[in-house]
Amino acid sequence: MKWFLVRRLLQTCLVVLGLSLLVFMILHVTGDPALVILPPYARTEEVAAFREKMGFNDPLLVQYARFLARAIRGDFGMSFHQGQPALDLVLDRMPATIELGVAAMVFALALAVPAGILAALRKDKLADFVGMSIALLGQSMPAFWLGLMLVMLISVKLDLLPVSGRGGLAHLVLPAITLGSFTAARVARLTRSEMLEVLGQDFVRTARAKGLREGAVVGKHAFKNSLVPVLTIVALEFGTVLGGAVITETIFAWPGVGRLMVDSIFERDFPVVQAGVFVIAVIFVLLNLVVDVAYAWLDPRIRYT
Amino acid sequence: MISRRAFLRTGVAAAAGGSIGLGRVPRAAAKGELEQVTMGGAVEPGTMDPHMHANRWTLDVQNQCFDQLIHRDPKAKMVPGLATAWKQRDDRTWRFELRRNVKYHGGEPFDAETVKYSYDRIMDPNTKSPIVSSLRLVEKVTVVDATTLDITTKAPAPVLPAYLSLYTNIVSKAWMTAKGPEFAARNMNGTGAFKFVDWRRGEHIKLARNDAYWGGRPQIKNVTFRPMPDPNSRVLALQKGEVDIIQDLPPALADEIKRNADLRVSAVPSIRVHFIVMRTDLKPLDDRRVRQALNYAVNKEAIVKQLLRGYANPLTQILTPAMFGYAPDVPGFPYNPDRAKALLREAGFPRGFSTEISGPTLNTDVIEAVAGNLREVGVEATIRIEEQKVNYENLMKRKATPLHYLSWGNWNLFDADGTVPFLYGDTQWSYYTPPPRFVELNKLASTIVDGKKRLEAYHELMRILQEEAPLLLLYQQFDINAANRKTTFETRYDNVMLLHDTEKS
Repeated sequence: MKWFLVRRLLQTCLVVLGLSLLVFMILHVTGDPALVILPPYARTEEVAAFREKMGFNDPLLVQYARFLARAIRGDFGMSFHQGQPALDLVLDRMPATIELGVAAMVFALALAVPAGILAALRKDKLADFVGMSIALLGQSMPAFWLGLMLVMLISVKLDLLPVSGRGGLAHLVLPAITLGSFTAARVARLTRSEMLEVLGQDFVRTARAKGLREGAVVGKHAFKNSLVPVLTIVALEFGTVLGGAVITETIFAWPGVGRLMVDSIFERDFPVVQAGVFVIAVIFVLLNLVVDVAYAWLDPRIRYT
Repeated sequence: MISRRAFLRTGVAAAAGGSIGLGRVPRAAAKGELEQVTMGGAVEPGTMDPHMHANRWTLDVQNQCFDQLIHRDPKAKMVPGLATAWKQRDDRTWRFELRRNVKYHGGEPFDAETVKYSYDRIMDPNTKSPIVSSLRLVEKVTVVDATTLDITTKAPAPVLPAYLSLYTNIVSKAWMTAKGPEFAARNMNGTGAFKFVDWRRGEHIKLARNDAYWGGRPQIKNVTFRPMPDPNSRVLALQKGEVDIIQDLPPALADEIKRNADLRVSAVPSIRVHFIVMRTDLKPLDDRRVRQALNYAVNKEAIVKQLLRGYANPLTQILTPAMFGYAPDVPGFPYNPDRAKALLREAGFPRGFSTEISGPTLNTDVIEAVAGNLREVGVEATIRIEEQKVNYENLMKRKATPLHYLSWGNWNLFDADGTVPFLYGDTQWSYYTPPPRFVELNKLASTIVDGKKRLEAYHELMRILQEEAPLLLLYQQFDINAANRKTTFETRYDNVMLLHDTEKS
């Protein structure tokens, strides 16, 4: 187990390094930061002088080496656009991002797992039909539409919750539902299909045959065994939610890292994009690591050496 | 009520301003104070350092806290700011009389030294200021005494005062040198109507009024600026009453606001004009008859009415009526497809030709309408829509499609000098080679001190452009903001959301 962890952490470093190279190259090939940072009225010679001053004229590899040498020490440089250390700007947004991500996952799981189990147990009955129809709806509604509809109905018409911004729990409800609904739908459908598969297996029949209560059969035997794929999806979704909640963050004016990243990409603010990719990549890889470890706990047949 | 001293001060300022215009005139009677006004902004500032951005939306926050030597009144006329008067001493020297007894929010006195420091800081290559171009006309700044400043320009520069309004904010030398640029990127210390209180990135920026403001104490005690990037969310927040003023609405949402009696739309003709850059260096657009034909082929009136719901004016020339140099007698190109076809025939394209048009995503509907109009006269334009900055970079890197959509904000100068020089030569976006008379007139107009002759030169330039038609003119957009009925807020011609003069409704 120990060696497994060490190996995985080393892999993580390689992944992050490769990713940083990729992002660096893509950013530098697709846009000229000097043209974006300077106003449109800047003259050709002013753009050239600015480019030289910022070091954009050096060969790409030199720029990358310079970036890497500092990044190893946790220094991603100063934001071109915001005049602050890039990593600070990203970390500053992380609490809001994690808050929204966790709330969305809690909403999604609290709704989806019971719904999925119920649908599996009542297969082809009304509960199954209703549950899965809602799931289909949740998966096909785009976030920008769902978000605006929720705000229109619940905030403006019924006057129950704030329209946007970050504050207390009340501010969190609508963005969490908007962001979590897609995941909820996915998890509900997956839980249902996994449960159905497990419920049809021999050990479940055995459990029932030896007279176990239905609750124990479903909860202890069937559910735990159907969790492995569900957990994988949940971890992946959580990672996506952390890095890509841009639409939800935009509608609800939520100060998350997704919006910062998109703005920075448009502004060609390379240091912030690099720092953001780095932080999100690390979180993503760590989440995967946690999931891998959790597999062993859920399914004792899985052993890591 | 305003104090007697403040009144006298403003009176003196106005007198000193002379023919240039009145200062910020104190209100006759206040209708009562407002505890809090919240603004839903479209774009969050990246920095609080006024010299480190060239972002128009950042001014909506910063210019509440900072002043420039010259201000703009709501109709964009230049009026005294931190300078009470200015005049040209000779071809290349301008003298500025500065306002007395003004203090920064931090308590430091405002004087000529701080103005010199601010301008030198912008011009210093080590600052890497994105607005260094605003002072490109300046050779040096000289302190004459505490309240007198001379600016020497590299060449005669009648447009200099326009550059000293809006972006070139005056900062405190003592504060800036003591605190350093990283601190200055998160905080503000100006002489403006509001003081900086707090900034939580992505959430809000809070300001409180400056009781000692030289232009009179604002009626609003506290201002909160909330960045809300989605226009639909801004409208919903206004409907719910979470914000009082919202910024930058698309025309469709403005109509939505109008249906609600508690809310109002405040829209003015913008400084921003939309047009299509034609590759005059390529065939067949090198023929002016072809360029005129395309201008006649596009139904600008219909675009304004149908797509922009009336929140725009058809463009008759590259300048707007609010700008110095606008020629009222230039007719533009009223929609006339028959004339277009005749011109194409005359130029040797009786069956039209094929070409390509590109532009940013935001303007897709207008570009499609233009392409549709062109098709009616036989010009088949393939449409290429790109992300705005990519599209702009293609234009600047000389990789533009034959027809390239662009909008231009005149650098907020309200002067032909913010537009005409960009039509040719070393400045970038045009591909046009004008006749010698055009170049001669532009050189004259950008250096001549005599205002009347300067105006005549620009009028002649506009007539040449009408004939030459290097651009396919489309429309002048409106700047559309909205508010509830709590305040007297109105959109200014420069569209900076200043709240100093806003009162309780």
